[in-house]
Amino acid sequence: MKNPFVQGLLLIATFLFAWWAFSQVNWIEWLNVKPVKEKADEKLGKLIFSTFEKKVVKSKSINLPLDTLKRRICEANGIDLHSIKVYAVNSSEVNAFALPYGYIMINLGIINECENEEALAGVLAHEIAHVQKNHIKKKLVKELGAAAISNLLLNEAAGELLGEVVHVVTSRAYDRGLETEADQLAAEFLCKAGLDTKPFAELIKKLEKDADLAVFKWASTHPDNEERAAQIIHDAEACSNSTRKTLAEATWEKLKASSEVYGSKDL
Amino acid sequence: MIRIRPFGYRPAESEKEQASNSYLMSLVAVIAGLPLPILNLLATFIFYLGNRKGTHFVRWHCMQALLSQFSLLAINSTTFWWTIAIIADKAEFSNYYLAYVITAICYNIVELIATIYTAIQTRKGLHVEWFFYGTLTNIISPR
Repeated sequence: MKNPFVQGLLLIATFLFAWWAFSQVNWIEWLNVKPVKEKADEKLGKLIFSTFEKKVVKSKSINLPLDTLKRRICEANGIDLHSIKVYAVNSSEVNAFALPYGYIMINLGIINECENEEALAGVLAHEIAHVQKNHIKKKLVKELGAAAISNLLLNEAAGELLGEVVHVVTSRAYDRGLETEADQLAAEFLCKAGLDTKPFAELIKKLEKDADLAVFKWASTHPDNEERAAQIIHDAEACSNSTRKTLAEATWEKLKASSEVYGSKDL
Repeated sequence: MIRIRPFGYRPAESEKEQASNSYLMSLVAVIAGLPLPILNLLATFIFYLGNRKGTHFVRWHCMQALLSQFSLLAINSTTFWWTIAIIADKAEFSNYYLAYVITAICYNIVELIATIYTAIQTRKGLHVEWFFYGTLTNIISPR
């Protein structure tokens, strides 16, 4: 058999046969392999989180209520509590954002803008929705490209690239489709958790008025807030669950007071 | 898969060395710790360009080494971009993916063993022809 065409086909056939043969083994179970994607998300999330670690608030009067709200939303919606990690960030910027691997960062600035726990729960639910739908990764890949993200995963010391990634997750808006999806899902989360959605809509409208100010980043990076607020209220009307408070009044007051005190000592 | 065959003439010492080096070129990137698919091919191609006016024995083995790199490039590039697609959520992490990675690793190991063996035999002046690549080289670089 000296025909190179036949030999070439035989070589390809051998490769394909080997591939087929190997695929008959359940490697995922046998090797107990954690998907590449999960490992990459974890590494990326921890890498980005490390840039915020110095600004993470360690006050129990802030963290415990946030954790209680998170618990209420997650338990009502069957979301694994350990998959969502909420941190308060000592920053006066009115902003909240999600990172890969379930990290949610809530700036003290936005906590100060919330008039009640339901508004804060709405912000949390919105960011949890982004995590559940994996919007963060989609945004990063769209803005920076898959190869750049892989480069960062392979070379953690790529400081400039990490800076760009942090800028994208904190400053750039998701596209309209993803924002609408997050809003709808957040409304569902709040409804199932028995939390009033209207304060969240009111917060969005309130922030829209101040969107021009640089510090009100959450509003400026989420366009069409009037429309969003209207849609959230519309979605809330379909909710027939009764609502109840999560936090005691005193706990909420202490949270607000602590965030104002902490915020005045901006790092 | 690999056969030692008689060549048209007995190559000189310098020819044996040059021909053997053409196979070692494909290991350059691996030795340097950068197993990127394209680097091996580029190194082998540059070596081929540098020896294309050499003797028949040298040209023949440079060509066989070069041709064998193309299939490696195809297989390893597929592995690389499939992995990127999974990380970027554009593809699912599946058993087929793992099976492909394992098959690609096996192919690379076989190719590595064949390359080292051929480099050693060629250094001794023996003419080694690979399955398919040898046949193709005979057509491209006839005696």
